[in-house]
Amino acid sequence: MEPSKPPDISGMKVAGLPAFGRGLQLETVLGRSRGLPLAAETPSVGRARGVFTPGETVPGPAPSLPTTVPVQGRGVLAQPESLVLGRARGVLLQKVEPKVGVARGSVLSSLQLQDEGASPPETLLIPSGDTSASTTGVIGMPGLAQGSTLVSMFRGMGIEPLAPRGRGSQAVEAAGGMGDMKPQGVRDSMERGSILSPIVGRGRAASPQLGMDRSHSSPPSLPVSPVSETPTDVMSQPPLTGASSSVPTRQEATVTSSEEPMKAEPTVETESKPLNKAGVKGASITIGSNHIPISCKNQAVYQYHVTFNPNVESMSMRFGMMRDHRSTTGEVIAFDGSILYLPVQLCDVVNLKSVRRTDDEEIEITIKMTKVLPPNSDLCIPFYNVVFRRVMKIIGLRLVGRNHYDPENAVILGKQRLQVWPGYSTAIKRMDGGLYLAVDVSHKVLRNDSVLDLMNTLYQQTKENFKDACTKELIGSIAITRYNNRTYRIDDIEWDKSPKDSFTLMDGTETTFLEYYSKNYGITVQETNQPLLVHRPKERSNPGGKVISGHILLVPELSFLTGIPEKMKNDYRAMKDLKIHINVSSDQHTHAIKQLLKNISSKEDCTKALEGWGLELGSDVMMITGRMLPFETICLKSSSFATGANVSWSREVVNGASISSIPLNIWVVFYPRRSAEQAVELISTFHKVAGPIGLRLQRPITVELRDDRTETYVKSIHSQLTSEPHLQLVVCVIEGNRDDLYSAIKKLCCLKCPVPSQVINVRTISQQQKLRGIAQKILLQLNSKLGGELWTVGIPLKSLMVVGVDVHHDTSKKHQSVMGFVASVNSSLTHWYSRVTFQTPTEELISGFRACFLSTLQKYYELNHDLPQKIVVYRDGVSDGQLKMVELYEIPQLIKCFETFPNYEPKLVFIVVQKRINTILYSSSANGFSSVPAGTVLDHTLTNKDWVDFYLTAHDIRQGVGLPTHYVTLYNTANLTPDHLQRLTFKMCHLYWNWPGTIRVPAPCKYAHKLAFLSGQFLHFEPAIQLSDKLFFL
Amino acid sequence: MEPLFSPALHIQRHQFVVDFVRGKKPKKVVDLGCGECKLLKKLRFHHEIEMLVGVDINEAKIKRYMHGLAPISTDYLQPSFDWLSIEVYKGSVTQRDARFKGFDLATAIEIIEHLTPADVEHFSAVVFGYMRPGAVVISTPNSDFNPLLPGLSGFRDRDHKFEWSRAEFRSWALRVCSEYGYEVEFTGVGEALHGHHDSVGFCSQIGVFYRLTASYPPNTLGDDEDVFSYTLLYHINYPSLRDNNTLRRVLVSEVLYQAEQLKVRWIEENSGGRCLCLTCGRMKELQIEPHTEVEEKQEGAEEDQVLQTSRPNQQDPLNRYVTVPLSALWLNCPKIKKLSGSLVNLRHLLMDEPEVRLSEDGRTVLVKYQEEDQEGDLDFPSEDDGFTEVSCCSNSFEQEEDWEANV
Repeated sequence: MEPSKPPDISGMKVAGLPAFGRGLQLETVLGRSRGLPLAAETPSVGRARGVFTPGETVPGPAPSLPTTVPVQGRGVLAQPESLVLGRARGVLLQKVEPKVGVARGSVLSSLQLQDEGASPPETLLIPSGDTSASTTGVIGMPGLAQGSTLVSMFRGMGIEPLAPRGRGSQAVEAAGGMGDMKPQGVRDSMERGSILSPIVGRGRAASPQLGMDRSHSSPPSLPVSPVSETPTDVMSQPPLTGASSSVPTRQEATVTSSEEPMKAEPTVETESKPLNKAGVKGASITIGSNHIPISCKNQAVYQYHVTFNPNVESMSMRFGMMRDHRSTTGEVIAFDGSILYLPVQLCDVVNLKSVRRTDDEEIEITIKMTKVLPPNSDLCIPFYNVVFRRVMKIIGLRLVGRNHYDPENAVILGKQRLQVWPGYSTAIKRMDGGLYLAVDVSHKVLRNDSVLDLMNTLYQQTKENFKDACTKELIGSIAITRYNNRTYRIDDIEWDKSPKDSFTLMDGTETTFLEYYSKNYGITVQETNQPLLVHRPKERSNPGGKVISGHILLVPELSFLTGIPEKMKNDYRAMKDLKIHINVSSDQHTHAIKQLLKNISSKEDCTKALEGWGLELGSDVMMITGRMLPFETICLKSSSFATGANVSWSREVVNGASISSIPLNIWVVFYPRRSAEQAVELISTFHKVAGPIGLRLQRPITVELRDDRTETYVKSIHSQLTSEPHLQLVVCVIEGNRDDLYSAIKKLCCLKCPVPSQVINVRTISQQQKLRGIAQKILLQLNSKLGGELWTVGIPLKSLMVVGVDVHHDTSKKHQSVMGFVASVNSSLTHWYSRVTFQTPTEELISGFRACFLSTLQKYYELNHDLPQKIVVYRDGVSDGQLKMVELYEIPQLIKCFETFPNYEPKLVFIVVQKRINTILYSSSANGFSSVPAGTVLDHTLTNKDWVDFYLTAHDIRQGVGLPTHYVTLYNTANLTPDHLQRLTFKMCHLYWNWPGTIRVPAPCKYAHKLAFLSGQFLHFEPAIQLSDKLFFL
Repeated sequence: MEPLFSPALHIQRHQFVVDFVRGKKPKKVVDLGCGECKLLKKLRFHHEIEMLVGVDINEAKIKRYMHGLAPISTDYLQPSFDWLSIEVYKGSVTQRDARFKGFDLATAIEIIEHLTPADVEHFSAVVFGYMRPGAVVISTPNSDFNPLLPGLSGFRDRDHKFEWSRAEFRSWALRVCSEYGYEVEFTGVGEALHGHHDSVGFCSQIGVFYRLTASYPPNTLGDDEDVFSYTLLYHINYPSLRDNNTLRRVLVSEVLYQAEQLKVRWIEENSGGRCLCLTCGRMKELQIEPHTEVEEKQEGAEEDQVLQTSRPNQQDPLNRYVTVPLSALWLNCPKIKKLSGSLVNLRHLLMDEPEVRLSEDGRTVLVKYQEEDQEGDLDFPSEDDGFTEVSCCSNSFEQEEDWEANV
């Protein structure tokens, strides 16, 4: 790996700062008995800076507690010498108040929270200012009055006492985060929070949490405990990629004494017991996955801390000096400027000398071993990935964005002026089953033309609103350039600038774009009057701590767009051409993976690079055993039937009566004159097919429009709505796919004059032979929109509410993001209540959760005269990196809502739904691989070691490879077993009424998605509240 | 500390070479002691160069950096007519390798001071006597300048075996010239501030050597058999339109697109009855060329020369083709013209291309006349497509369950 660039490892950088010392450590002791603890160590409270700090102790209230009090001791070790930095990080804990149940986060005033003892367990985390996200976790335990406190300033570390379940205490340490790490900073503490609470609820031990933070910016007011960089024990340093890992350790983790940091033995990470996440229901099935096992031949990876004395500021100089000592360290190193990882063990302390070139000063370099990591430690993953990226380069693939592609085998789509590059996305990951290389086949779509060519074409097409057209087409797209391999998102267009303008180089000289490209890249920019594209990078710090900001200007002539053009996405035929190349079957997929493995193993340099770290790549995709969940039974009004292997019941739903139907008495159909014939035909077909479905239908009012202008529609609809106040439904037949017209109709019917509406493209109803089937589907859809109930499945949970949540982001970032929130409000899960909230773009986390949830609970109460006792939330659109944040912000928001109602403590299950993942499952048979059958669940080996999670393929895969949906249970006070979680989820995938079959995600998620999409894309406002108890958005 | 030079000196040295390349336009360039391949990375953007070679003794270093010399993505998107091949070798500049003969330019930037005096002699013999490039650019520290460098005692780098004054460099250079038949110009980069320049010269002194005669002087190190002492570590050919495969690929893509465009325009004009645009007028003239004997033209066909052939069953739009004469493509699309050079060549290149359907005489491209396919409905089935038949299997029903019991 390349020592000089750890770049992607944000964490590493961070870690690298000497100032912050890294090592903190904590440790935990857990007292099984009450008082034991800590006291001893604490007293010294380290207020003294330099030396050590005490740790925090926890809680005192212990004595009175009935249960055990865990204790935590924490040894912090400060090294005296390192005093270093005054950065305090400390932890501290203050005195604990004896009162029960009070938790208090000390320290930052802003963050304190108090919690009453009596209240239900809850964890609140509050982020503090921006740099340090400190969190305070409070845990109040009702029964036990005891408040433990925890302060975590940042990433704290939390420790908890064990729950008998074997979770043991986990000590987590997080590394300090700065910069990019912030968000994650909070994670540990959050995590703990969550874990704790369940425990708490059960009345089990109290758990103090402790957090300590190491971020550089700790608030001044904290007592400082310098953190030392001593070897500490136990914990793992969080990984760099941001995910700070919490490595659970056993409770017997060692505690190093702070007094003798130098002698402390490097500790060895230990593994925690796996979570119980395996279900048993269903038939076993052999499946393959796109994961290649990686075996680690080395015993360990050694972590060292490197200090430069006198200090060397420049990172590149540090890298250079380390490079000069390859004879000591060996060629294989991973170094971030401060932390050094080697596959070999050096002496505990190695002293080296280098000369600083700038001033000939002699620099003493001290390399101290801090930890012995298992070779599959989370800390190693980032640099393993760096090594692997290098392997991909060696076999001749080009990096575009984050994936590697092979332009030599590009497929050219001449008609669309696109090229499709085959390639791979790869990641080394640590899962429950060990270390794996996840390989996905990826295709990069690139345009043959430069952005300037594209602008010229646009200009031809749309002279007057050329600028708008450009903005629409370009903003948000990703461009690559002619002169480097970077990708840039286009955020804006500078119409007033041109390549003739000048800009300032790093060294301060001014040059024009024309000159710059000519001089550096030998590129002559032909068109000197083109505008420039603007890319605004996210602010971030480079390894030296310098903040990189400002924007980057790109010359359209030298830029090429990547990705599928928006326009093309609506072009059915073009997409078909494209999909032929992009959608690969399971067989092709596995073949491509095998080809990659072959290419890698045939290059000696590749295997050598991996061997440097003792890694050995398996030779084939992995085979594993999954389960097929039992088929579900679909219930209509008076019949029920089991689903088949293709999980589709399109015939049954049109031949049997729906559970309930709303009689359609007063409704209106609008159609333009040209489509009169089709509209009339459709209406008569409606009447023919309505009977079997169980829908009573009166003749509609028909309105023939003289033309198909948007205004004509809007005016006619509006006048109908005002003249007929009891109108139940508006149906519009329109010609062609017209977003503006669609948007206008929906705005009118969802905002201004709330009424369910259906827009039908005349093309869909033009084919006689298909009309009957289409009419049936439309009627079902209409019935759903009116509040009818089509079908359901039996769910053996009483007093249940299922909630689906999804967020729609506007790609151009012009509009706000929209959260759709849909919840079931009856016991058979056939009535749904929906809400929408808007929030600023890019914010995936939902802040408006509370309002939605409260009104939903109220609605539920109104309808059922009771509140639900079990609430299951399916939350779509959360990436792995955001899980912690969701746990920290969203779940507490929900729990907080319960307090609004007296004595209300429902059980809550919160499941994150991830559709975009890179785990693929194949079904294996004698003739090769195919896609897995619907209902296939995988809940081991490839699962995440930090959570109870599983993969479920609920839908019938007709083409392409099987991408399962990943479900991560973040919270589960209902104690649903893995089997229940899996089956409930599968059942929920049967309830999407727009599709008589199973779908990829639970129906409420899909509903929430549709609602968010409609609101974000077409309405731009919250739909009228009158519609909220109907599926008007279908 | 304010940097002494801006831009940094090493960048100035590389820029010197780049400027030299831009001026003299050498086709084959070798960088001796290429190290981190930085100079090669810069030079690859300069189209004059067709062959770029680097050699360094440090294999690990080359291996670390050489992949950065790979073409960038856009080189594949829009290949140029330039031809560039890059090779990187592991080897010592004091040893000969026959593959290094015949270059137009050799550069040795800050290299010779790392050689022992004896090796410098070998170096001279290998570079000037054996490789005999048309020009050589050699840079080395100027020790006259050292007093101006703050805090410097001794050499600028620990690995330097010597640092020459201007006079020492000059005398070595002149000796090399007389021995091997070169002439030299002295220059440098990194000027001293405050008018010290005249007294100390440039911080990095540079000698630019030009070969006087093409012939090898008689006293070249004797043996002429080919020696291959270097190991090739990396080799890449940049995509180039001079490569027939690449050219064909780009051309096919362009032809398909333009033919499609012409077809769309023709259909529009035919159905909309708008008057023909100017390009069509020009196409008409071309039409005179005898190319239409095969097809039956339909009315209107003579006007546009995008013709529509009626294939056997006209009912089915999928089997109808629009014919687009190659000549129309060639004339209308400057890019196709540029790529193919001549009409004959265009036809030749498209022959045997599976993606392009040519008429039997090879004069026209056949483009499917396809009706627009059906599009999906706005409101309608959003999940997957198509209703498929249900097969009702009756699986044994599960017993009623009650999960509550377990909770």
